[in-house]
Amino acid sequence: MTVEEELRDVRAAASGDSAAFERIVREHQKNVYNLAFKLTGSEQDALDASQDTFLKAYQNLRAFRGESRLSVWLYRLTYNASMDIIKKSRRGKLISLSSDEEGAVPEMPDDGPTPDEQVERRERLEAVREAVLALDEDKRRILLMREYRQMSYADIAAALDLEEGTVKSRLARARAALAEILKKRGTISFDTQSKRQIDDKEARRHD
Amino acid sequence: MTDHEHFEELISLRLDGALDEEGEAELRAHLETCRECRELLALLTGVHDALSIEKDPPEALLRGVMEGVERAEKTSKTVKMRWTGIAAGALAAAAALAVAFLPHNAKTPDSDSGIAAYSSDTGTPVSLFPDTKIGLPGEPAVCGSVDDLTGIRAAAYFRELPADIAQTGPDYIFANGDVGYDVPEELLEAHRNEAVRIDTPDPAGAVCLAVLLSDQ
Ligand SMILES: [Zn+2]
Repeated sequence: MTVEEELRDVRAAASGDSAAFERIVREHQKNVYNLAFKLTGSEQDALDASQDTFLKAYQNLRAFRGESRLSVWLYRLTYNASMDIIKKSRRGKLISLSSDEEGAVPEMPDDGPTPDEQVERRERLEAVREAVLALDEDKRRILLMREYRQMSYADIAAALDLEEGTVKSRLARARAALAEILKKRGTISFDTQSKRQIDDKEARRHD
Repeated sequence: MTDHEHFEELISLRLDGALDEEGEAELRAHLETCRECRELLALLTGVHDALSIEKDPPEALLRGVMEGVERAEKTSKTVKMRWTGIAAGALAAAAALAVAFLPHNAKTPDSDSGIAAYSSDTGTPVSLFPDTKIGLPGEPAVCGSVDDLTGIRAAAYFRELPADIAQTGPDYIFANGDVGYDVPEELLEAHRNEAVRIDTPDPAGAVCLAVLLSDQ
């Protein structure tokens, strides 16, 4: 979708053309959903956050003036919607009666991750998220751009008005700081799997 | 740049698949001898892998959004009818009415905002519709939306009702911030857990004020 097409759809959707809004959702839902999943660590939360994002976007379309790309605007909404859900679930954890959830067997496609794997993945994503949130603003922003939104060096450089070389070194600093936090907290170990992979690579190299 | 920072950067580039052959050889030689960098690479590879997910969004996403859009359209049409009716009613008469007859135990909402809510956490009033003056005489019928209802348990809602317009039924405030009257049954049913009924203590009077207690 070009910028012009996008803006035309935004205008149409703002005046009640739901087909135009559906095109917008189809275009952006993958990015929105994946970002929400990486932040929340759960498919259900990611779905809720994505729906909140698009409904809020719909309610506020008239306020979108096209100064930034729609994707950037949606990114902010997704981030906020995900954080809202995270906050709520933190609160929920304190008061929820665990018996509610016991005995509930989640539906799972046969080839999907097992509940154990899901829990492990969620815990990892939560640990990484909390460490990212503990970073200072500059480091957090650049890590979100690269690791959560998969932006290229060039796009990050443009967004932050930096040279690409500066992006590379700042990203390296941010990653090192993140590793430091994760190591200190030691809540989740990433070592086993990654070491295995590296060892595998080494082994292959020696073949 | 210190040595350490240099290798941190090579590791970072490698994660992004942006390390050239020369750098790769240099890094590999260093990793042979530096345990700290081996651990850093392992940890960051784990992080990078955990975040390199690409899932297809479930079909329920689009479906749910479009259903929500449809509901929002219905609600906002309802709201528009309502306030248009009032604005077109007896503006002069309404303008003359003062804020009065508030229940003793109700806090007075910010008289400019028309609608106010009290944060249950702090008790401080927050405007639900910061940019609109809904229900004030002469204001057209556009309903704003509430930014965030989180933490709001009680909302006061008031408007000046022209004497010659009788209240026909209760208003509802929806979780998305829309306010409506004559709300169709099926819409209420769909919002059973989030639509809050506004009962007006003085249906025929000049000022209607209701304190909402949502079940949040
Ligand atoms: Zn080293």
